[in-house]
Amino acid sequence: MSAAPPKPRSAFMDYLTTTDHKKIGVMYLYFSFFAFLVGGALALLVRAQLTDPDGAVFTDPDTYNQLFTMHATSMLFFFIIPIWAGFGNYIVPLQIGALDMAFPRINALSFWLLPAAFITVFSGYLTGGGPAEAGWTEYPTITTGHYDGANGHGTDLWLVGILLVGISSTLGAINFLVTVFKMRAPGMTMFRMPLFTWNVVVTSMLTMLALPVLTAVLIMLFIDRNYGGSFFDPALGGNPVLYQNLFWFYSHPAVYIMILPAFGLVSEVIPVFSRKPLFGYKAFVLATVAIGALGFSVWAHHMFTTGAVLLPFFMFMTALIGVPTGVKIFNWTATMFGGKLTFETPMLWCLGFLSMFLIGGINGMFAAQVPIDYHIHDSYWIVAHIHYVLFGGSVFGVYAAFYFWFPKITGRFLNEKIGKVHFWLTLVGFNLAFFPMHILGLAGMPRRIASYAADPQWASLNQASTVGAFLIGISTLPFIYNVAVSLRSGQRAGADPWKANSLEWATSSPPPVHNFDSLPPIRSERPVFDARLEREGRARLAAGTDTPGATR
Amino acid sequence: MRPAGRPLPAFLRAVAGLAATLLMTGCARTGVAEPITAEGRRVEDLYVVVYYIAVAVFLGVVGAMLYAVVKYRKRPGDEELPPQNHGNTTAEVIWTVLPLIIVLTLFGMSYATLRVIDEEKPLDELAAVVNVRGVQWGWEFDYGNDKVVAGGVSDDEAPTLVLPVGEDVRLVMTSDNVIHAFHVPNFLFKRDIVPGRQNQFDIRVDIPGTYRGQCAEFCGTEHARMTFQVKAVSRAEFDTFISELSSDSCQGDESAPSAELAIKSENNQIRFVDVQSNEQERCLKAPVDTPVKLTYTNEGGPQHNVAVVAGSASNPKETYLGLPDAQLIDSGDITYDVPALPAGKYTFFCQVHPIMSGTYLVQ
Repeated sequence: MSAAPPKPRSAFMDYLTTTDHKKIGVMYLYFSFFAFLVGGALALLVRAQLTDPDGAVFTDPDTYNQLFTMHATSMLFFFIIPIWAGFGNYIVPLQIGALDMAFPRINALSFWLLPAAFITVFSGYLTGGGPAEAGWTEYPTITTGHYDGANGHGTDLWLVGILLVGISSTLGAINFLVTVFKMRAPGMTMFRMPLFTWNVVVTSMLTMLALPVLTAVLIMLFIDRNYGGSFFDPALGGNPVLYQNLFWFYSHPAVYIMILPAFGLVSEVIPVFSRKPLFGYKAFVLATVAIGALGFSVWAHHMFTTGAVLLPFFMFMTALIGVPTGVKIFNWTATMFGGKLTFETPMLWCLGFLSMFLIGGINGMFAAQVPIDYHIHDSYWIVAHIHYVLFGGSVFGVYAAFYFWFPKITGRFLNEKIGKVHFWLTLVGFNLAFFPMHILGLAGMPRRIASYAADPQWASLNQASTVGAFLIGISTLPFIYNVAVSLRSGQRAGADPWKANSLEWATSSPPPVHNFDSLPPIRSERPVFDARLEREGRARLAAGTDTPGATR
Repeated sequence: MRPAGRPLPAFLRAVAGLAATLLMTGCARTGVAEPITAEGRRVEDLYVVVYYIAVAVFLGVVGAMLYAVVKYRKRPGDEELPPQNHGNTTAEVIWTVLPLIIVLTLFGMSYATLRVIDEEKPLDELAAVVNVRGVQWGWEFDYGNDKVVAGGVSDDEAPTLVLPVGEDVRLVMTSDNVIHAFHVPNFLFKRDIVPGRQNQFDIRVDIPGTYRGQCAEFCGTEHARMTFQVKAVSRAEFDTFISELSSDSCQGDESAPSAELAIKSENNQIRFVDVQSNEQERCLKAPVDTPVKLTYTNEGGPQHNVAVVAGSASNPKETYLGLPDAQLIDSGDITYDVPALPAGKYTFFCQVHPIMSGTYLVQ
């Protein structure tokens, strides 16, 4: 006797209970982009405040302090890290020819922890004291004692929420690593894996090794705040610098967690739109691993001014990490040389990434020199640096990923014209918002200040920056519109609309539930390219327009 | 549209060249606060070197990108694949080793500069040692011998650190309870003030003048307004300043001692003011050997109290009125009982915001 076929589930229940990496990936993308918009709105309020030296909008500095704290929290923990987990979730199993992630149910858990964590952190706004307000770094002793600035329940909710994010990321990292190590299709050796997957692997190793330290330090702070602990309060025998060491031991590798997947994406897109392979595949892998390893040795460059750091060592290692990063930039540029370039939006975003991330790396080089950092630490130069690498780097990479993989995920292209408007608006707004901050930092404007009444001469650069920020805000509108319209009626895309290289393009757009009906032979890092070349060659032979053995 | 493959018109190349030249030469020190110390000038020199390297790298890489974008764009109708170049080991080695050399050279220069900045002079070569205390939210500059300049966020003028020009001075920094940072943009320098640590540094201001400073490590609600000034004067002026400096805030105050004192704080302010004039109250006078009723009114805002100690707010020797008896209130009136005290100079202050302080004179 055969059982009756199961009743079809509603779409809502389907997504609520799914363990399919593709659906989970899409949920990550929606959630993370929502967090990006929340973080962006908070940023606009921050920038509005700074248009006037006395503070244009909020008379209460605590409100402002909450704004920049929650802006960074939303962006770092709920947008930039999860969105790459989302793209990774969707794309990595496809790129290695696998059926799904190694642990599908844990995969679902990793995702659902995030909305729970977001609600926990933001419910600080519902408490009497408001949400966390001592910066996303939440240093003691401001956060341990009952000192004005961070003594409400909002900080405790923040700690619990970030702990949940940490659990989500750690589980996800283990999932990615096991998937890649154990579930690659036959022929897919490690050195034939696409660079995006490689970068997700190194990102996952960083996550797995660094996150436990953050978990520990957040719990220690929670104990200090609520159970009479004395880890960080010197009045009780503790040491506030200990917190900084533990916090940054995770949070520095975290910034590589935020950028490496973008590196991977750019390494996929530039070769496709240059029509030649990535220049120096092995060098890229080596450079990625080097960045990951070196990333563990530089954390104290966030603490140069504490007087508690072995300065020459950390200055040396910080300067050193620029070398593998530079290698990547040179290799991407070399990929374009001798190619035949076209400039569809994924490629535009990658070119933007290259130049903007370059600026971020360069201004980081200034900060790496301790004597210069003595001047620019905790100033707007640092704000410029972090946004050039995080926005100019990671966000440009995210947008490139959206435009590149949207056809694969949905079976439709995003509109090119609207995409170009989106790109140029963002590029202009972004530079207007953040370039003036270099000058403000050199002039001595500290970060995390709600007003600057003693320095009215800083007002004009701040106002320019605010205009840029609002331009960025406006620039998200064509993107949202593009997604909405293209989902419904975008130009249809086939399996391999960009003539790309890796296995995700060897299946339909969108892929079936089981990902692949069949796999092409995997003999290089570009199996889809190889298969397409062979197919086109055979077609020319059959049509008589080519002779066997002719090279193209 | 220009036919693909033609080089950029001559004038565009000229513009690009001009921009590059300007960037390289004219803008190196743009935006950098004017250094007024010997150490600061070394920092600016290092900055300029890094700036030139930065501009060269940026122009080189972006130039190469733009060149590729123009020269290697796909011509319409050309569907042939370009040569499928997988890489070049020599190129990899070159562009690993060359940046490595640049990085190491830069490290060497920075290290040398760092040695100069962090160098500490022998004690007998110092013109002064000033204890700098960061508090929420203000500063105390303690020259020793009870000579303290203190001021904070609600004062009309930021507290001033007076230093002798052309002489080495040591600043020894401690914190009340949270991390602050001492930052003077014209020093091109900052150092954190960490509770439980004593951070110190030597500095020599070479140009007389008044310079701005402020806290550069987030320290709570009024972090943005925790400013101070540095005033560099001739040695003679400095000596006069020190000899006339007194931490007795009752100097020049002509009110009579009273056994019934009143003080208040205004809405959301971090300072005490006179109940009648609303001017900042820095002096309370009490009669000798008489218990005193001190009425405090909080017109709204953060919690405050009034404590009375021997010694200073940051270094109390004995507490005559304090928590838990001197309760905190965030609005309304409260009357504190100050015990009878022998003649002398004491300090009254808020135990939540010790920067709210003044002299409690018993005479």
